[in-house]
Amino acid sequence: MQLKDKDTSQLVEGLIRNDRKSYDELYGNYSSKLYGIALHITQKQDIAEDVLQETFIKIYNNVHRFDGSKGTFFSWILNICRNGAIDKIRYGKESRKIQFDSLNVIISTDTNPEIKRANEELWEVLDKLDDEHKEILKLSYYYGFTHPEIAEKLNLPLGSVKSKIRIALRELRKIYP
Amino acid sequence: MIDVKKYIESGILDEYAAGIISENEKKEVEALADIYPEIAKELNSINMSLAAFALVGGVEPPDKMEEQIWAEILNLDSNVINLNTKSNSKVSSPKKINKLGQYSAVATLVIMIFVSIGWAINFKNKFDTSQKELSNLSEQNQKLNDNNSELEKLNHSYYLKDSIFSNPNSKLIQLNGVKKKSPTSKAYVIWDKSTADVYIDILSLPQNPPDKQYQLWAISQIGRQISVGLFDMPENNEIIPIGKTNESVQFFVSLEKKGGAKIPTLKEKYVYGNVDR
Repeated sequence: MQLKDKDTSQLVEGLIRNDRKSYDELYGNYSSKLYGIALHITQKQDIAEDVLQETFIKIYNNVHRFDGSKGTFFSWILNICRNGAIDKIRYGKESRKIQFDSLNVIISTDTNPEIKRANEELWEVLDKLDDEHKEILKLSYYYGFTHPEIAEKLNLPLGSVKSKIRIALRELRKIYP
Repeated sequence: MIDVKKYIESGILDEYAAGIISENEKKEVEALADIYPEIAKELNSINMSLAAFALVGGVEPPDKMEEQIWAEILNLDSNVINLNTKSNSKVSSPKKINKLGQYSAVATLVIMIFVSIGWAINFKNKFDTSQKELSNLSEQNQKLNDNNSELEKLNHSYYLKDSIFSNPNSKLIQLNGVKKKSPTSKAYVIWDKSTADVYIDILSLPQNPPDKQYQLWAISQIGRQISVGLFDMPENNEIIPIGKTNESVQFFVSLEKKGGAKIPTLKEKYVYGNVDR
């Protein structure tokens, strides 16, 4: 369960003080979400574990720089995790080229039941969006493709890709107001 | 004055929330969110939706992960007293925590003094050696009037040391050995923030195998691991110019395949040190 704003600011203060209790709270509240998103992006348990570990180290090194006026604490740590995971699949030794065609189905190369369940949950939510927006959101948000890359692969003008992402995010905001 | 509605509709806030815009655009969004409450509100709303989206499909990490992460964090900063005690153990009273904080501060101060003295002695020795050898080399050069390339290289190295250490913009960062990997290793990074130049002075590191090279990394403020440059163990006690970086909260050295890696191999991390905040 996500923490309320007041609890979050207390948590951040504790983290800045290097208070172990706050770090335990951070791990207890957010590790499964962060690990889940790392798994969604990397699709590999060992890489997702590295991403999770590096995310917590980055939080430890940078928590004093978190600025609550620029966004929520969760979105801040989420971006650290997400960017770390995307870096791994884009530039790491485990890098792989994500095939666009494969994104229409649940990635089944990994038989880990946890990953399968996480994928299914993600797909269930994405299925509430129409196909066009679903595809764009997956590519840009979960798989980290840049807008020009999506435009090239889907053979769409860049402006059209940007506008579809905007609409997709707005649709998502109707599901998660 | 900007057209706030148009700005929001441009989609840049969505791109900001998704973390896929350039550093300059990011700064622009943050500055405008400070000025216009509508932009801040919209941004927050997007963040909340994306955060809710991200909650889908949470997966419990393996049990070993929690302890593994704390071990790594404590390894990064063994002076962090508060983190050494797990929260479900007996919690110290606030007074005790303060006292621990004071001890920690005193201990840190003492360590800093020793480090400074150690470095000053090291610096003085190197400086004296540099001066003597520079003078010797100059005499030899005059006598021999020889364009020996090896001597020129050494000469350059000594001039380099002299100029780096006398530069007031140079920041010295001590890198200590990673306990599990190479506890006795030690190096100094000298970072000239005015030019972004980074040098390394190695006190102790194992000789790298021929098919591998050491790689110096900087961790940026947002946690990105930036490669500063590669080096082999020098034959002489020389300071090596590595590369440039404009930002860093921590430097560390890892052993990578020859030619370097795009991301560091954390298991091959040898020395690390935080830049003073």
